[in-house]
Amino acid sequence: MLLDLVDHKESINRLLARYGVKFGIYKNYVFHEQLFPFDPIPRVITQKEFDYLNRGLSQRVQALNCFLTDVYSERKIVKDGVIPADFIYSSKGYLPQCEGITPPKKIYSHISGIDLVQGRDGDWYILEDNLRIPSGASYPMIARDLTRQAAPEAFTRRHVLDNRNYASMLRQTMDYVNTGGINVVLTPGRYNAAFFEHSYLAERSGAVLCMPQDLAVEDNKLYYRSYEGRKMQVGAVYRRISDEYLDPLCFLPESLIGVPGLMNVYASGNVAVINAPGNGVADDKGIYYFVPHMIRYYLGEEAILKNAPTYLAFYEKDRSFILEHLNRLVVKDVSEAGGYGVVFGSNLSAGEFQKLADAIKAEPRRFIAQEVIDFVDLMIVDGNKQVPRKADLRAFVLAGEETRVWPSGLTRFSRNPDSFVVNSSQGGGFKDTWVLSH
Amino acid sequence: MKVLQVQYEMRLTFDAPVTDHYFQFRCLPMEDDAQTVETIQVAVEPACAVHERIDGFGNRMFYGEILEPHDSLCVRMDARVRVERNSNRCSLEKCRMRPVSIETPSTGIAGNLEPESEPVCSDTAEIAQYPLADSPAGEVPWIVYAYPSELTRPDKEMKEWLDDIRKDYDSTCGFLEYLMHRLYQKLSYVQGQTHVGTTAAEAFALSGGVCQDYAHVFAAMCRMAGFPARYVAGMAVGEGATHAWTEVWQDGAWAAYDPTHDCMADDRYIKLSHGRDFIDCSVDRGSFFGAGGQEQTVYVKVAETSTLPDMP
Repeated sequence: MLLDLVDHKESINRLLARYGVKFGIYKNYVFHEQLFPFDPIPRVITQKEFDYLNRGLSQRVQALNCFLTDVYSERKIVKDGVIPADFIYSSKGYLPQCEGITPPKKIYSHISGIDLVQGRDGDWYILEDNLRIPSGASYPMIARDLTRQAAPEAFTRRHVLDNRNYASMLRQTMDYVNTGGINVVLTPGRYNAAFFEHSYLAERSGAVLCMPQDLAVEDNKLYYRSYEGRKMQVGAVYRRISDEYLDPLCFLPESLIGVPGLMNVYASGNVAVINAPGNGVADDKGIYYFVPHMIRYYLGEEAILKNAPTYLAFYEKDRSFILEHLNRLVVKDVSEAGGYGVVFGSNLSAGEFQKLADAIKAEPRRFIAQEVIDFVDLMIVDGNKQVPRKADLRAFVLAGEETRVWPSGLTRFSRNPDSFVVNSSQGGGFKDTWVLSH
Repeated sequence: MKVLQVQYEMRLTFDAPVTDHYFQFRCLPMEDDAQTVETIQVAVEPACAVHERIDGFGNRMFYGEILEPHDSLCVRMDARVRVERNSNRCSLEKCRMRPVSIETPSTGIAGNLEPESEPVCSDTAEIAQYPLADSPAGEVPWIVYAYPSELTRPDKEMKEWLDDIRKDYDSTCGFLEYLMHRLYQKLSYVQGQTHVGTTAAEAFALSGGVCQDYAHVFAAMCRMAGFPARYVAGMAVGEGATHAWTEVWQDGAWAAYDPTHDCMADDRYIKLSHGRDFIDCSVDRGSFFGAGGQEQTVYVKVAETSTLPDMP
């Protein structure tokens, strides 16, 4: 099965290189740009399984949107004692500047990237929620396109849902919250890790790709000034700039890449910002622990998709459990992202082990620990053999008039046979994700 | 109770014309339990459209832009404000040191999740009895001011100094009052050695600075001692510039301490804005395009008017 695609590995990777499909990595203070290696064997998900994931992921994102609305307005979930105040207000992702602002249509997380894995038992487990500016949708989109060109016959014999509808889903999401005016994709520029994606998504969704200097506030509205000097009002900004650099008048005063006054326009309801500023409070690794409670609290439902079994060092009982079973757990520093600050207890030397245990005792709020999930291997092409490697799935959930999952997703795999960390910033590769139409 | 006549004027002049000038001011007297604005007038020159909103901290601010070339910006505010700030020093038994650390609760385990039903910021004694519900919606709850911020993150020297203060404290007066007094002895008022971006730890290492630094260091110390504290930007009778002090969450209300003068802020103080530190609530903030130099002058005057008799 799927062997017909294996032969196309080199040609498709060559095309990806020519199209500039790259991934930037910032490591040891140096910016490197590297190709994001593509493996031709797709992950295949049946329609039935996708329906299940669609229900579980939409439910999760709906609850997370309710949570964000609540945190920045009435904070009922804190008053009702479901989540300790400390987990919200000491989180780096909580932005007091966003208190009292209601985003258009009350949507905070328009585009959510939810990372999950399939265990050997067949169950799916959520690993983390990415609600700020999750990247990655463009890679399976262009890979599918190129695979279709290289091996059109592969799709005539299989019933695969077309994933090129991401562009129209994105467009609908922007249009739904648009307050009047054009849609723009705001990129910090050429040297951003995901610049390829910014330009590709803008082009495909019919939005204008712009840099901060192309946008300007005037009379409490946001405008785009085109190269030839035309001025157009902007109704939705899909910004790929992180919160703290968005507006030097509101956040970091020394930021040179933001749009001065943008937050005032947004707070006045005169532009939609996608995703909303302040979402970091909901994708904090500590808050992850409470998502099943949010689902119960806001939706009155039980979570369809499971969290990986997680322990919060903050709670004394959990902490003793973590310290007792450290050798089999994976410990995550809640303030780090992108696969940094993830430690497997089993890999530590005696000295490192003690150091980690001491750090957990000293600053329990900083750590969560999870059971290592033995997730399924997917086959990848390595030279002229096929070998099994760990892989996860980043599903993209779009919230507009309704909340739904893109029938595809970014499957990332570890190239190292002993590694469970699949983040692209840690040198992994990617696969297309096929959802079958039956 | 006092009625104060307040004037604020900020003038920014440029050597060469600038464009795309965005400005944002939090220079209006706050309206709260302690202050009632009776009359107010604001002027911006060159004339331009100005918008107003309340920021996430509950501060009133106005903003606008001048895109055309111009060589100065002037903002003037005149107001008459009735101030009834309760500046009573807390009674002794109320103000004994109550360390209120963010404690780690003992319940809750994955698989058998029982989230805490109590607010966690407390040794649960004093602070916890004032629930978050007391904070108005749309404005940050007081617990936000329990954590260190960019400019108020304490360092080892500050922690050690506070530990010594705690040891020396003999309970003859309120702890915060004692802390403020010791800090006043430790720091000296020196202009020019610190700037708007100086952190509490840097000012503490220099053993001095201006009112902004005093307010930052005191806020940082209070937070370390378990009392949520916020930075206040304002004006006071007898100060020719804007002033800064610290409010501390105590017994379910904010008490205003002026660490620069080692006293409680009373009804001769006009509060403009508050935040975790200076960055959150700067009186003026802006950006513009231009190559030349700039000069900023700020004129502030706060005068007591004769207290008016109550209207029948």
